[in-house]
Amino acid sequence: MSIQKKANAKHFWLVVLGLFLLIGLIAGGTYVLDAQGLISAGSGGEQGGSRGEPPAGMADFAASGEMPTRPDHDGGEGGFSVQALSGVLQEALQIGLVVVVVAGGQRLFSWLMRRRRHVAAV
Amino acid sequence: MKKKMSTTKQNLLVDLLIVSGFLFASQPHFTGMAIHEWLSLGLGVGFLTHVLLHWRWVYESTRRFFGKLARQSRVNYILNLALLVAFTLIIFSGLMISEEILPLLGLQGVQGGVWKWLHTTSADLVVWLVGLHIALHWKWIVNAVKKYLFGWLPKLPRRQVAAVKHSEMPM
Repeated sequence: MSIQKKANAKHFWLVVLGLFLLIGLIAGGTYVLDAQGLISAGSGGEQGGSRGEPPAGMADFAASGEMPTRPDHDGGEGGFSVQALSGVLQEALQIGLVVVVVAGGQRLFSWLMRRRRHVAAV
Repeated sequence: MKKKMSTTKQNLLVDLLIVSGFLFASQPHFTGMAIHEWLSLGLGVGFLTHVLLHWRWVYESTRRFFGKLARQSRVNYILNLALLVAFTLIIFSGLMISEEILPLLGLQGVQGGVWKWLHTTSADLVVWLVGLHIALHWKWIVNAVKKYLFGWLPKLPRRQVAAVKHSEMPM
């Protein structure tokens, strides 16, 4: 193996190691912070993020953190519905909006710079 | 001899898979919980693949981050780091509240509002970060899509293009 290839392999494994180390640190750090009670949810913060004992028969709803809608629906079924599809479209639209604003802004900025340079040259 | 796929084409395919997977994985009401969890886990592998396909950039940018590095690369680096943190939080908190994957391994997820809150908050944040990531690579995406997805379309000769443009001009 050539020296360059050896160096490349070394750098690649360094990136892999660093990536997994970082992921481990983030996940482990979050777990430790939660175990120490240092993270609290936006809505149940007054109890350090943990909740009190749920009423009898409501444990499932308390665990999911969502208000119960229908007794026979646990959110695990999924399915094709207009509402569900609109969620996907809304997200795509949200991403599209950011792209339009940022990419458009960059384009406008470079056009303005070009124009300014052109005017200065004239 | 088999022709090797170009790096750009390879990157584009991986990125398209990730984006479409991300759009569907982030809608558990659309996919159902089982698909949501397995797809998200697969997406995690996709992200790792995406990062490792750009390992040279990661290595060079990390090495030069506090030294000589272009402003756009520095912004990209910080954004990508934020994306890594957010995705790690989403996948880790998702595993903690998992209803399908963990029970399959004989483990029980943590039942608590904090993990659910962390999962939804980081998922909401990541949509904006993904949008920014796409926006900052928009030129590359447009060029790659033009070349590899719509490359089969016949190109108009330059004179014809000019004529079309001229005819579209307002009077």
